[in-house]
Amino acid sequence: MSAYDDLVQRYQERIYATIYHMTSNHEDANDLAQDTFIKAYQALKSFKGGSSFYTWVYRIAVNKTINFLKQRKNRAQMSLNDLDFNAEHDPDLVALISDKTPRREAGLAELQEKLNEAMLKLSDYHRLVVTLHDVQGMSHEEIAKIMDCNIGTVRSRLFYARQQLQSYLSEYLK
Amino acid sequence: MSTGTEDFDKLRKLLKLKRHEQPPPGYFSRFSGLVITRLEREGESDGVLTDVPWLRKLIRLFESSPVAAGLFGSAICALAIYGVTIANKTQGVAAVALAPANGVADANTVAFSTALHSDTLASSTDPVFGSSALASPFVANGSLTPRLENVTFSTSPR
Repeated sequence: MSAYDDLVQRYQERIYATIYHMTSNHEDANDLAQDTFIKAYQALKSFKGGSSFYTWVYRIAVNKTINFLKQRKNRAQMSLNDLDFNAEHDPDLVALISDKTPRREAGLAELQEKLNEAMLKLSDYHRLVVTLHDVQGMSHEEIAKIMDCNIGTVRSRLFYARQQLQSYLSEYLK
Repeated sequence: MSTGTEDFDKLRKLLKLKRHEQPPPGYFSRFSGLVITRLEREGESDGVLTDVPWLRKLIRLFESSPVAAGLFGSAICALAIYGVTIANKTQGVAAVALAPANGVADANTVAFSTALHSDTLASSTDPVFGSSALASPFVANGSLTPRLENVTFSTSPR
């Protein structure tokens, strides 16, 4: 069990973050991330090693999250995490808000909310591609493995999702 | 289709904001402990099931597929309804069989048939028989074992 504890600690942040960015809800992300690791432990015998353990756990997390979102559908409720201290000093983010708002913190909080609202308007699969690529920095190949589709599909979903986000957030991207 | 990064440069910068969303302090230091505790708890509750592999598989199937669980539940309900229906029919047949052929029912048959078709049992506050009345000279030690004894008859000439 202690070996599995090490495994959980190694992947917990990335798995939690993926689920959190998909749901925009800390409590849901917490439950689903725990369920993911429990399911992975119970299914360890069926892990054949065809993919890396990391990809395999990710697939479990993604499937669980998408099933959850299908059931939740129209009752999405955001429960956003706080921004860390570094957000205020990120030059890219500062450039986006400094012209618009006199108070930087209020500007970031507002931007965070609008961004999450826009993300939730995307379909589950488009949101997943944006999360894995633009937020978590994964390659197209890794995403294709996790989503069990080809790289072309990943690219086209990413392009469409970005277009959608750009139109939802146009007033913040001028 | 153009996927050039310059087209979405500002959007990608804005999406960086999400990397700064962090759960409450100390969350990740507790997380693995919560997972292990849940695993141990589930291991304990599954202890009985590990001895019955098919039951364990069935429960797993129900957990993963709510449709299968629903179908199984429906089948059980259908069986229960079928069982009740059959039982009612059987009772009806029994009552008819007890009725005399000429249509004149004696008191015992009527009482038995009424009891079969009533939902509640007839009761009285006055006991008809005391416990001593149940004792019979033909029954040994209160059991219903018949007592057989040889009896001889003799006739004397007049």
